[in-house]
Amino acid sequence: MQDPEPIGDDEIILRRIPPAKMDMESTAKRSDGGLRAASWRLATEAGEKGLSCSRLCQTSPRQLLDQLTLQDSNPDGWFVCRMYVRDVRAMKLEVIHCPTEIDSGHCEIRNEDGSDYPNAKKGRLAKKTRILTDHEVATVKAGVLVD
Amino acid sequence: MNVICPESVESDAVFSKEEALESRPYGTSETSPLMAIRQPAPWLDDALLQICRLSTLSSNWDSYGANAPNLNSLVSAQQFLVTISQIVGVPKPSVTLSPDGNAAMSWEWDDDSQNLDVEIRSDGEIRYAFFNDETDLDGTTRVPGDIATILTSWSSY
Repeated sequence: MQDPEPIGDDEIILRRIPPAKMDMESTAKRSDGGLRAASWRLATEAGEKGLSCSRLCQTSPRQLLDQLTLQDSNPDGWFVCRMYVRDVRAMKLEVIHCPTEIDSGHCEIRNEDGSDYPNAKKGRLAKKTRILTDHEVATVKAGVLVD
Repeated sequence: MNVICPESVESDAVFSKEEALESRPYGTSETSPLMAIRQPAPWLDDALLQICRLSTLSSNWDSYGANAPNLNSLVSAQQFLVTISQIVGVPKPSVTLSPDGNAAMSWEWDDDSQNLDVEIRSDGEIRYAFFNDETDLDGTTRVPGDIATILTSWSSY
C-alpha cells in the first residue's frame, strides 16, 4: 500500500450521504443557509479507526457517487458533503490519505492520538459540512475548489 | 417482542402500538418524579413508523460498510420513544441508524446552539452525546428520563 502522505489544511474532502428516501434523516439545515450532513452520517462503527472520505483533489463528487454502481447501488438521490481539512484538524482530528483500488483519493478522518475515531465529535464535525448542490455534483471536477 | 409495523409496511414483524404502550419496559418510574407525564405526543406514530421502515434496510446501507439494522435495537428504540413521548417538553427526534445498525436519534435546537445524539443498543442501553458552545457530555444510561432531562433542561447548560 502507498505510504500515507500529508494533506494540506486548505484541502477539501468529500463524503457520500445516503438519500432521504431511506426514511432516515441524512441532512440538516445549516445556520447560514443550505444543507449539511446530519450528525449520524459522520459516525463509524464502534472500534473503527477512521471515517472514510475522499480528497477532492483526486476524486470528484460525481466520481464519488459513481463508485456506488460498483456496489450495485443506484446513485440517484445520494448526497455529497464537503469539509475543509483545516476544520477537521481544529477538532484535534487528522486526515490520512489511504487510497483504495476503486478510489485513489480515499482518506480517513482519524483521532489525532491514534485511538478509535471519536464518534462523540460527529455532531460538531457535521456542523462544518455542506451538502453540495446538484449543479456542483454534476460540474465540479477533481482538483477544483468549492466554497 | 417484535418491531411495531403497520400492515402497510412489508416486514415480518407486526405488532400493535397498544401492546407497546402497555409493555413499556423502561417504565414511567424511570422518569424523574419532577417530569410532567401526558398522553403520548402526536409525533409518536410517525417516529414509530420511521423505526419500522428502517428495519427493511440491508447491510452496507450507507455504502461504507454499515451493519444491517439490529431488530432488538429497533424494538428497544420504539419502547424508548413510547416512554419519552409521554414526557412534557420532549420534541420529536430525527430518527436514523448508526453504522452499527442500532436505532439512533438526534435533537437539534432551533437556533443550532445545541445538539443531542442518542443510540439505542440491542440490550436497551442508551448511549448519548450532547454539546453546546460550553459543554460536551457523553455517556450511557438505561433511564430514558436522563435523556428527557437534557431535552427539557437545555437552558441550564
